[in-house]
Amino acid sequence: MKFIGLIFAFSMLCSFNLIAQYNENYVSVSSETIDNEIYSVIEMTRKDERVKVKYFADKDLAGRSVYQRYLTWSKNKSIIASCSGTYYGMDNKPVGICIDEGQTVNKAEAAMDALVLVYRTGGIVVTDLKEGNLTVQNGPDNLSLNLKNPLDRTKFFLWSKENYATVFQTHLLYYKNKLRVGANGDKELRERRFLAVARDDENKIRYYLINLKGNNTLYNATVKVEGHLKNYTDNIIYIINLDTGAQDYFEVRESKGQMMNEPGFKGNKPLNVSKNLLVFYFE
Amino acid sequence: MSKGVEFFSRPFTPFILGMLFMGLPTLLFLLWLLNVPPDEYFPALNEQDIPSSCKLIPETINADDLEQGLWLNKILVQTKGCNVFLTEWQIKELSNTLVNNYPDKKDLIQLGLITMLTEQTLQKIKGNLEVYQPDDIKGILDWLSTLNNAAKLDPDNEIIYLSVTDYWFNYLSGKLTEYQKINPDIRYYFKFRYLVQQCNQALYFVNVEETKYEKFKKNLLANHWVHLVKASWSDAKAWQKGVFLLVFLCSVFTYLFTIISFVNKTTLK
Repeated sequence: MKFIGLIFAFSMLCSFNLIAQYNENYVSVSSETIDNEIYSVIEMTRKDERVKVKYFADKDLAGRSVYQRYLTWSKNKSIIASCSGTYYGMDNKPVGICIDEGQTVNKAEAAMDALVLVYRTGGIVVTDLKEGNLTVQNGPDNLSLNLKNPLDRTKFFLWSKENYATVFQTHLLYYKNKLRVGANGDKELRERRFLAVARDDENKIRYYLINLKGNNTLYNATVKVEGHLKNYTDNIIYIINLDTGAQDYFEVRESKGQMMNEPGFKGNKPLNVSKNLLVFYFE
Repeated sequence: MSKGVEFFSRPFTPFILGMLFMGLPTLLFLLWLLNVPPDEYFPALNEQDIPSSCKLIPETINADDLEQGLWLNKILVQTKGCNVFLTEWQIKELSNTLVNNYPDKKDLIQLGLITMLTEQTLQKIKGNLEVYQPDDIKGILDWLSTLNNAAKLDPDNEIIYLSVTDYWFNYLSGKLTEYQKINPDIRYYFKFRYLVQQCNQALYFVNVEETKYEKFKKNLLANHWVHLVKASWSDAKAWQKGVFLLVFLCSVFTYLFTIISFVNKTTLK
């Protein structure tokens, strides 16, 4: 009986480890100190679509908090990294357009150019609101929308409800080979975190989650990160900002599931008080 | 022992000094409170006070107009004091008349009407919204409320009502954000809070930003001391850091001086 119990415990331990692991061929984590500043980079490839993204923007209809939702959802999932996404206002609501699985959280557009769409399939797409050429999958067809047009905005909100879309707005820092943030931008000196998306030599999408631990303005950090990413890729599609202000939540896991404790892979606040979470996971 | 040393050596000296320093700001604060104007509420409107809607002449529209886009100026007879915001009945009548006359151009009519009721109407009243005028904004929000109800009752024109309400709520929430950036004091007044609440309820959240003082107060009440010290230090300019260090060193020196004097005095006895 004891023997059976031991085998059972061992198999449970093995299965737990298997669940907690992600494949290092798809994700690599590195940290480098340049001029006394720590650059922490999590590089993830979308090859075979094993690395996916999920965004939690708000409480659900049952009133469960973002963290409670994340805990329930993340059971049996191999989490790579979790961090805050967009900014939140004084009333604890996201700044800018925000939709959580088709549920509208905020319809008011903020003066930020990046509209981030997180698909149910785990893909993430960023569109420049200034260009006004958002294309979304609507069944077998593509729907082309300009969100500056009142009719298209309504169509977009109806589409997002029907398709359980998840959307948020943030600052677009780099797009189409151009810096989109000026030196006169946010002057506050603080730690910075960005999401960059690039194409690799095989034309596959790669995600880069970059954390700068030192104190930088938004412009300085963008310039530094753009330069640093040249060590990884020549084909950056865009870089967007992730909030490190009032809600600096950031956790990274090693391939075997343990939490990384190095300062460059940790935020200043614990995840259990997070108001929104952008989660990268392996499936 | 000199008089100065004696004064600083007394146990109640810090308390007396504290009372002196706190008393003056409290007095100034009370004086400032006396100067704060009383809060204002929205006036109750009688039916006579509400301006009548401007007259419409839809018969002037032809097929070419639909192709080129509808123009508010062409179908609206704007007499003095009339309201340029079309009522839900006017919108319904206009839409139905045009669709009956040009049944194959329904999409164009919808697009034309939406443009007319949003961008073109905004051009007409934009000047009024340059500065914060809460009564005018409330008037628009009341209009949106009627359109919102109409969307549920008139499914044929639902997309028009939805698009128009979305456009104006989005515009007004952005304007309210702008106004409070220019004058943060308005955030404490009833009218502003009412308008913000109306937008928030419709899920167009007004981004009311915290001032540095409010951030400080929030962190202080939440006991986020480490964050407070770190944020203050990184935000401070070089001269502010210098002044802080000077005051800090002086305080430490004063305390040391007081303690040493006290110890010497006790030892002598």
